[in-house]
Order: sequence, then structure tokens, then C-alpha cells
Amino acid sequence: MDTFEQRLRDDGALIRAEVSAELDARIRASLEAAAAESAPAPVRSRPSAWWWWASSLSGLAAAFALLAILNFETTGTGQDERRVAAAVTESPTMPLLRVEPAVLTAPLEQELDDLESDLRKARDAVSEDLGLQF
Amino acid sequence: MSNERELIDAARQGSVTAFTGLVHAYRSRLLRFLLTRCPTYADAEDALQDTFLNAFRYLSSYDPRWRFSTWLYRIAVRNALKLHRPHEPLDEEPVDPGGDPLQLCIAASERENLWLTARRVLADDVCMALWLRYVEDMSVNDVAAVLDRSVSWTKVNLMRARQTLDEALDHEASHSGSKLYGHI
Repeated sequence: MDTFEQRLRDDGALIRAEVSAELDARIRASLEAAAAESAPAPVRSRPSAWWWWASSLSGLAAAFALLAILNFETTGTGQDERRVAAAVTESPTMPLLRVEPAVLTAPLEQELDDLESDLRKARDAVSEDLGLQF
Repeated sequence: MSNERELIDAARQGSVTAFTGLVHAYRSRLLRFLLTRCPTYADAEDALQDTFLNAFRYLSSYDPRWRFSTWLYRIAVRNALKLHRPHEPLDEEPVDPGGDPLQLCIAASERENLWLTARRVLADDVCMALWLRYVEDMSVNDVAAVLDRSVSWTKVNLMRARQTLDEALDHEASHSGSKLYGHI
């Protein structure tokens, strides 16, 4: 080691750097906080094999039961539908709707006009605010 | 060194106490290094705290093929660079109202401390390379790893730094000599 290197080393040693107790406590506290953050979550126990078999078998049983119920209801529903259709066609008290289509659609047209009017007003307001013409 | 390895292994398991052992081993050296790099004493302390905190958090990424000090200094350099403001050069206007932190920590001496001169005449990374090589006694390879530079860059700049410092010292010596001559 030459004198230049020795001088660099000596002058480096002349720099006094002491870690205060307060800084030491700060470092310790930040480390403990980091350790608490990264603490591993409690490990969940693995379900055993019998649990897998039990859940699979109960799932299969539920699927078979559902299929059986659906088959039973399909046959029943067909009969009901035929009965309801016959009742509707044979009903003597079915009211006749004697109104013009224009009367039925009038409220909708009014609603449409109102909406268009609202849109126009909104557009005018925005144009005024922005000072732009659409 | 084996003790250090045990502490690292225990700290990897989450032991704060083991990591505190590593903190105690390196805190003064790191603070001294950071004092040469940070504009204020408080910044150096903050950088030291961040260095240990980051090291603890990312200890799992530490590769044992490296020296632990090399890895730690690499983190410290990054933290110091985060604090360094390019528009406020360290050597011109120390931000600390109490004065330049490095100047304050240097023991009284008849001549100017060489590290004050180094910080004035050398670029930041070259000054760091010089410190790591001659004060921390790191190998050129480790210095290159800490600074994230090539080995050839490190060798060339260490050589140039010596030349630059020699010239600066010669210049100062001749300057002070002429001043003395003027007084006589």
C-alpha cells in the first residue's frame, strides 16, 4: 500500500459517524414493523382424502336427484300447458280491445318529444358553457 | 464470517434480532459512507434506515455468492442517489443549516481531509469507487458490482481519480505556498 492509499484510508477513518440511540431505535422499530407486515398467514390444514370422496359422492347424488326432478316436472308441465291453452281459447269472457293504434302509441310519442326537448335544452346549456357551437 | 452467515440465515427466517446483529456490524461504516454522499446529516440517517429496511425486506433475494457488504452497499448507493439532488451540488452549498455534514464529522486536522478534496474534484460515482476501494477495502470486482459498472470502467476511473486528486493536491500546495511567499 502506497502513501496515497494510506492517506485515503486514514482520512476516511477521521470521519466520525456515530449512530445515535434515537436512530438505532428508529431502525429497530422499522424492522419490527416490516417483520410484522411479512409474517406468514396461518397455514390451513389440508382436507383429508375421505373429505374429497365424500364431497364427490354427495355432488353426484345431488346431480342424479336434480335430473330425476327435472324429468318428472317435464311430463307434468306438458299436461298443464295443454290445459291452460284450452282454457284460454274457450274462455267466453275475453275482453275485446277496440282502440286505435294511434291512441296506444300517443303517450310514447309524447315521451319521445319530451326527451328530444330535454336534449335540445341540455345541448344549448352546454354550448353556452363552453362557448362552442355544435 | 460464519457468524455473519448464521445471522443472515436466521434473518431470512424473519428474525429481527438476528438482523439487528448485522445492523450493528455495518451501521457505523455505512453511515460514514452515506455522510460523504448526502447533503445533510438527517438525509444520511434516513438513507441508513432505508438501507437496512430494504435489506431486511429483500433479504430473500440476496445471493450468498456475493459478499453481504457488497449487497448492502449496493442498496445504500441507490438510497443515497435517491436523496441526491443534481441542482444542489454537495460541494458548493450544503443544505444542512448546521453546515456540511461531512465537514462537521471530520476530526480537526492541520490539513484538509482528502475526502473533502475528492468530493470537490471528482464525479460522484468515481468518488464512491475510491471510497469503496480504499476505505472499505473492496476488490475492484466488488466495487464494480456495487456501482453497477464494468470492471474496466472501475479500474480506469480509479486510476484517473488518483491522478486528479494528485493534481488537485499539487495545485493546492503550490497555491498555499505562493500565498505564504506573498506574506513573507
